[in-house]
Amino acid sequence: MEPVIVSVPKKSRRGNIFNSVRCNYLRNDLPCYHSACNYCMSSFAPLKSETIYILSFDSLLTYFSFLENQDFLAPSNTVFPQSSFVHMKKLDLKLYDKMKIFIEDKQYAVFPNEHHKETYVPINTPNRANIAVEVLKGYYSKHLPDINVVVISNNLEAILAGSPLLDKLPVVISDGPALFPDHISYDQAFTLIKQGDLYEGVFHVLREDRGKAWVSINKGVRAELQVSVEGKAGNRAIDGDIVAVKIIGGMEVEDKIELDEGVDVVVTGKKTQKVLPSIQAEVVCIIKHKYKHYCGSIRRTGFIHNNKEICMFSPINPKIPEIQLLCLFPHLLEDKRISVEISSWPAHSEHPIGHMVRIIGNITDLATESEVILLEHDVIIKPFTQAALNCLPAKDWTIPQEEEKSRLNLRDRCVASVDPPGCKDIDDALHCSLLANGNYEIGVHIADVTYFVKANSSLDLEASERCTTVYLVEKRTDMLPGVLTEVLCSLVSNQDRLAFSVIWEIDPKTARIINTQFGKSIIHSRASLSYKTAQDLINANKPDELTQSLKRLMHISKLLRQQRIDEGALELASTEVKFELDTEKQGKDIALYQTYETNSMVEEFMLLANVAVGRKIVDTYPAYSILRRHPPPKYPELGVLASKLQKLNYSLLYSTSSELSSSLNHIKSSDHYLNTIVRMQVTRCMNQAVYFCSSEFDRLEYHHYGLAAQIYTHFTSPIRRYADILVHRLLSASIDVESLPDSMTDRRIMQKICRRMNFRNRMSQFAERTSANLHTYLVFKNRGSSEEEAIVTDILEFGVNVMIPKIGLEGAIDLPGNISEDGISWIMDDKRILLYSHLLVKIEISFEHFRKTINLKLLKTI
Amino acid sequence: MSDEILFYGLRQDGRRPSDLRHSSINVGVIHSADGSACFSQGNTKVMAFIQGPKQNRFEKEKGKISCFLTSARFSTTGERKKVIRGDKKSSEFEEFLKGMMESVILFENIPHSDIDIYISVLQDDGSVESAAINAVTLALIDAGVPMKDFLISCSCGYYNSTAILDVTYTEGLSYSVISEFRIAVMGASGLVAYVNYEQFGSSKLSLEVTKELMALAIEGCRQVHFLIREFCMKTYSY
Repeated sequence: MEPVIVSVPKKSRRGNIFNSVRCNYLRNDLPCYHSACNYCMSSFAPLKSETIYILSFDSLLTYFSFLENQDFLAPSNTVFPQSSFVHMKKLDLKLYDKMKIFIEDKQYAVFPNEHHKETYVPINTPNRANIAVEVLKGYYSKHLPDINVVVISNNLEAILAGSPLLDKLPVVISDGPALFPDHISYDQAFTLIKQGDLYEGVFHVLREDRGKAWVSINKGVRAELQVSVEGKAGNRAIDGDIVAVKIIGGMEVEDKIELDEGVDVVVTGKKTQKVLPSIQAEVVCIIKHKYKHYCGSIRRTGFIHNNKEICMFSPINPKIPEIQLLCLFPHLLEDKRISVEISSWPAHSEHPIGHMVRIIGNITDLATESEVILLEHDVIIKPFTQAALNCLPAKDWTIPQEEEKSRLNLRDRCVASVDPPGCKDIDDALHCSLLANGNYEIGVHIADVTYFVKANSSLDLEASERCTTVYLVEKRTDMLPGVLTEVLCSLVSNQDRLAFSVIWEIDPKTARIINTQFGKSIIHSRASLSYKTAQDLINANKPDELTQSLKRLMHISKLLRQQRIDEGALELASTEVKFELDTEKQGKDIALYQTYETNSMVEEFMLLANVAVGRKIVDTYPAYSILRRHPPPKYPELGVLASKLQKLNYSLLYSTSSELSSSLNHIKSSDHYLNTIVRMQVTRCMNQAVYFCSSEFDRLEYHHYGLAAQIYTHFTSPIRRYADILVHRLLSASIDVESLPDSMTDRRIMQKICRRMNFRNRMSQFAERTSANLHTYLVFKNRGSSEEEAIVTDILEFGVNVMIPKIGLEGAIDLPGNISEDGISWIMDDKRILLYSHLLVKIEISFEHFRKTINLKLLKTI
Repeated sequence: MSDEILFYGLRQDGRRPSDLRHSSINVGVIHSADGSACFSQGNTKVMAFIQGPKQNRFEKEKGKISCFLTSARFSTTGERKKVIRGDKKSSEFEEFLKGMMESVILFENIPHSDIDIYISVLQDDGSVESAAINAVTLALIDAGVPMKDFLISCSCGYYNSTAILDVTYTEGLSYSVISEFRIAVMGASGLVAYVNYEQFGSSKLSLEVTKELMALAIEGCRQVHFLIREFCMKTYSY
């Protein structure tokens, strides 16, 4: 080892320049990673082929999406030099992180040429990153004389000549007249932002009109300023980019308009009209591109450029502009869903230039459409890595002897699980038995997933990336491998299973909790029931143990529910629908999801367990507990709803949750759908419930508004939610079963995980809704156009918003005429359509511009 | 930042997790002091000066040790250092060092005498305290103070479930569970004289990790001891 002193001038956070001095040791014991080398004798030698490719940093920047989806540059012939890697990190941190995961997963060779005696390039060398690659090439040719070494910088097109892989390469197009002003440099923008001349914010495009956009600028902690950006002022920014904007007009009007994104995923065209803020701004610099693959289809134009046909790619996401592609083999891409990445948007081009990443499948296939839904919502669909699968126990695993000793033996209790029909990942089970003193012993048993998923194992890290299982109508994407979710953890009947139990002693008359106990246990479930069979058992009222246990549970749950509602918990409604699938797993029929009393029974005990666990972990770990809070609703929007209801002589009070709850119960009319619809509209005014680390908020802010609970967490579904796994670890540490892993005592890591869980959770909700819409579309495609009764839920600027209660479908109808002055009815010719009146609508489907839409048309008023 | 500490098995400066930095030793650097030594470990450079043993004023049986730690303003890797003496961290270290030296120096051989130890940090690139202990040991040898044993120190850290030896300034900065785990051992007997570590937040150090860190640090101390012993054999043998 030979040290070299490296001294580089650096800029401190305060802006001062100082010399950063560090040592760099140059080694001569580093292997070359080639299996044909007799000298190095390294145990890790992935390189095998006769020709090896060395990637320079510019090829990493331009070809990364190509690298991810091909097998030309395989681990057996590709070397990543450390210098390119490090240089790339300075330019694009996000891509660097992605690449690191990719390389580790595929086991590529990374050559540490910065620390190798023969390949080190002094720090002050001009054009260092490129020279380092050349020096490395020289080293390899000298070290392995029989091997052909090729450096890849921008010459991949020449190397790949004639292969279909060419379509996946990003293209560079020659100049033309500039259509957009140039972006200023990042350093310049940064200085101007500091001076207050420019503002930094996130660029959001309006869903209805791609030409209009707004930028939300964060000012201070929670204040937000929004400015609108129209047409060419967008200057090549794409939805989600972080941009620097210059205010060009209307600054004196400091009005703030609430714009919530994504809450209304479309079924039918326009739904609400958003008012853009009056402050005008233009984009002068894109600080950070949002790197994403967009799914969509191509349209051929027939124009040829450099032997390639120019195709237009229309993304499914309406916020993304059309992307220009150059294809050598366009016929392969017709009627396909493909995923595309934007490679650049030069100033002379009307559209961004992209390149294909991969073909997803045929446009008519349901599997393709489902995959598109998952991809568009950032759901991780790649299979589990081998390292993660290695953490799994054998499939014939049985409970080991030492667990028998340390756990509570609850095999004698009459435990049963109640779930939706066909449920395979059963994560909760219940029991209730009579104690000698006349009290009930009620137990909630949750699958002990943390026994199999050890903290910081590969499996745990993978699950923490996925965060949640996503349920589409016809399939699900698991958070944990199938062996765990369906076999080892699932609390199926007549099998011994490991569980984490919460056991209460409860007074049967008042449902008062006398004693709470937590512990790891072994259970033996007697029956896996569905909600319907459980309900039937209770109704049949046989004298056997199972039925009596269920009856007692039902009795207590009703008392608990009443207590909760008295404390101010809200009963909100949503339109959950159920699809009947045909043999090809396509939606055949659609109906509202039927609920039984047993649904709310199970829900009640899960809430009770979650609250009990939440209290316990906060008491033990006030700083690192993972909790769930539900902030108070959006009061201005509730106010608008209340004033509309006021005009129809219904009163809605909303200052506290109990007031809201009781006034909702008083809204009664001859129309029995009205109450449900008002409840749904109140749900729309709610904020999202979020996970948080308990050190992020003050104790008073832990409050869960919807459940009127002071402390709430998620404990009951560890198979499908990552938050529950963390809570399980916290709970087992707080009852001294296991010690808390180091990473969980780190507030910063916990906060990061919470943010990720909230994001994935929201995205999975959107994906589930989009999947339901897709299946509704398929149902009506099979059925042809049909007529249904609908209820007017809102009066808009251009028509009315309706909802079809029978199938839970919502959408807007464009109508001639205008809105009445009081805002609660629509005047058309001489007819009046009042809010909450019934209409007869026609449901039609259309397929235009590769977008599947459901349209509603008014037939007549009822 | 913590994931950059180890890049495919190599640290930022090209060392493997259990490699020490190159160290160099110099004694007798200042002639006006009774003993002096300069110990550098990579970019960390510490000088130690000894005044004494000198007769104490009150003629007490047992002598007294005083320690003074000063850092040069230009010593830091980042910006100029504002406080050069008497901050909480260095005062604490002075007390620790005094205690350790009292247990090593054979005061019965030099009754009625005081020893003053001056340490000045010329360049700080992590593990300053360890380098200071080594420098003081060398300076005491140079001054001819009778000692039981060498007092050798070394530091290590723990990042992403890997223990690394001899942490640098940038490694110590990165956010992790343990940044600097310092121990001092008696060179010949191998007895541990001092263990100290810094942590972020309220994270706790588990028993297994502590064992791993101790083993690594003791191994590091053994290597440093070998260096210092070889140097002394070469310099002080006639």
